[in-house]
Amino acid sequence: MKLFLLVLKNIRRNLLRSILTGLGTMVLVVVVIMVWSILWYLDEQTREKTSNIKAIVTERWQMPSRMPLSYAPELCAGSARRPEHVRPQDSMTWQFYVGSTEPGRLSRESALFIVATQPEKVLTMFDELDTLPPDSPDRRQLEKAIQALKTNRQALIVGRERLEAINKRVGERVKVYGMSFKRIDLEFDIVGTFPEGRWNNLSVMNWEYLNAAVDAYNRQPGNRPHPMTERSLAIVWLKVPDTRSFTAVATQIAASPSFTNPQVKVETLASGTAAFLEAFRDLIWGMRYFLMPAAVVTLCLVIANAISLSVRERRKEFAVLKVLGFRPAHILGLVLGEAMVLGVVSGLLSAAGVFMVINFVFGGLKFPIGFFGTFYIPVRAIWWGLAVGSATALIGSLVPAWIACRVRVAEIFARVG
Amino acid sequence: MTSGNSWCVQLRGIHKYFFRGSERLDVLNGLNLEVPEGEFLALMGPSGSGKTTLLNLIAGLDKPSEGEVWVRDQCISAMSEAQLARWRTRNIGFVFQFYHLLPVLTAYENVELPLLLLPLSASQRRQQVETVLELVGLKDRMHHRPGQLSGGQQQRVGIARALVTDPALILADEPTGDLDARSAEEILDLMVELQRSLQKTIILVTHDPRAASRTDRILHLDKGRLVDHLPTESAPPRRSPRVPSGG
Ligand SMILES: Nc1ncnc2c1ncn2[C@@H]1O[C@H](COP(=O)(O)OP(=O)(O)OP(=O)(O)O)[C@@H](O)[C@H]1O
Ligand SMILES: [Mg+2]
Repeated sequence: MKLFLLVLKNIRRNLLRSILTGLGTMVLVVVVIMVWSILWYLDEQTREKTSNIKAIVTERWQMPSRMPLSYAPELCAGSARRPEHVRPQDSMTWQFYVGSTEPGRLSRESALFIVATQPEKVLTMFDELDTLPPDSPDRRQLEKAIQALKTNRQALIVGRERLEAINKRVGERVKVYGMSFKRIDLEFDIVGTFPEGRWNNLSVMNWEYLNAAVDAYNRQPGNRPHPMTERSLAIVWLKVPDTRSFTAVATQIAASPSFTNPQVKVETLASGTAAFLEAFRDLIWGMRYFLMPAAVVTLCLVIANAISLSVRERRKEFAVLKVLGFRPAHILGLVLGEAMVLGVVSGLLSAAGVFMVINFVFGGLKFPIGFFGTFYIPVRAIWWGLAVGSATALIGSLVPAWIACRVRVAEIFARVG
Repeated sequence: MTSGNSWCVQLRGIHKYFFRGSERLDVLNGLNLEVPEGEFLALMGPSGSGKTTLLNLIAGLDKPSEGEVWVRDQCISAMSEAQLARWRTRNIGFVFQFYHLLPVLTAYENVELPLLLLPLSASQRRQQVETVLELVGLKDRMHHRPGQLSGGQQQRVGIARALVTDPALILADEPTGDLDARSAEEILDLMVELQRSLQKTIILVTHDPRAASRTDRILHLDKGRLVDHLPTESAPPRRSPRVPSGG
């Protein structure tokens, strides 16, 4: 539109004020985007899926879950005992070996949280790793590391941040002193790392190594059986194609006579995560229903204030425009346009800025909620920035724009008083 | 409709009053006026007598409390706000005492402003803007901002803006009120020239008898009505206690 140039010129008129308003908008959009990214990610994780469901089997009455390893084979088969029973498409077991690189001391620089599992399952059952594009460099590197995990029982894959924290590199050896398995200390060869992201702080080892180590400990003359022997299995993961299969498998497991002491429970990953996040309910509630609306309302007010000021200063100008034949709709458009340009530009800029800075400079947003530690700003956040910026600009400028377009020319130019 | 083509402006039985609280302030009282096409008319009267109010009615910026305003063959007092806005772009050129140019726009852009409301191509607009800027003698300053121009030059831009849509009627509310004697004289020369060569109808509100003397006819607004004073030279001193302030 021909009048758009006028909008731009008016923004440039009080450049300092426009910049300050823009900066205010940017700061608030940044807050909104960061909070939104966290909430969005948590929502994604707790949204029930209807296909390709991951189910988790854990001990029923106790946290943390500790089941005998002997449960593993039947659970992995979904307790399918009869031909008509549903079998899971895929499965894996998790045992947790928590240890430290320094004997007797657990610190940020020394802790390793290691999942002992079946190496090949890392690529088929681990969230986000199971969806790596087949030919991506990340996937190829991971495949190599997993190959090493299969052939070398002492291999260890360590997440990027952990690797940095314990000050080691791929190819080096590390000795870990057991904390969850007391007196079982293990030596590892670090053979690789995970793609940047979700698994930055976790490590994965071959389960056979751990279980052989427990056996060896138990066989040693003079040792009583290790206390973890009968309770080393934390989680069994199952993959089922749809809700119906999930219900069938859950029913089969519940009906099985094998799991009485301790009892087990089957949940979807989403509901398991949701149950886990219950502990953070107040925090999440506060972010969603207090912090977010507060930021959005403040943003509207910042814009309303700036636009009102500039409208008040320009009452005469709007009257002149009316004399020249501008209709109220034109003037409404001019004022809304000014606010929208400010909102859109600062919204986009701050969203793109947050996206780049948080994801690429800081390597994610560190906000530890349970086992989620790092959040990333999704690409769609750029659209949120645009939407938040323009929507708040629109709302904030509605009233001033209305006032501007209702300016009564006769009152402004006559000698009133 | 009795005006035919010879009247440019016709006011019939105009009353205009404002309310201040519960008190009614009568500004125009049964005023009648006929301005023939092509006339250069001066409106005089003490401050607060209602001159601007009258111009506002003729420009359709306000509505009479009673009576009808006809411009050419249209009764504008019956038109809606949006209709009036459209009509104003093509039919009225308004010149203000304080120029009222947009400070963010250059002289050229200020003059172009009303043309943006019309369905014209960029080159048509450029041609029209350059023509009127040439006419007011400011073509060499067209890329200056108002802040870089003198009062007289700004008023020339104001006049160019009023002329650019080629309206039949120009309304000027004390266009020389803020100018020194020489600039005022130049602006008046320009207006006389416009009326002569372009056959514009001009209504000029002024406090300055010398400015009024350059016009075809002078009317005085007194107690809400218009009264004639025949020859300009013999205009008697105002009865009003208020001194023309020029502002
Ligand atoms: N919108 C309005 N509301 C109330 N009173 C008004 C309004 N517009 C004008 N008036 C009053 O009407 C009277 C005429 O005002 P107007 O501005 O038309 O006078 P004027 O002749 O143009 O004066 P000046 O020579 O000082 O410009 C004044 O008393 C003014 O206060
Ligand atoms: Mg006036």
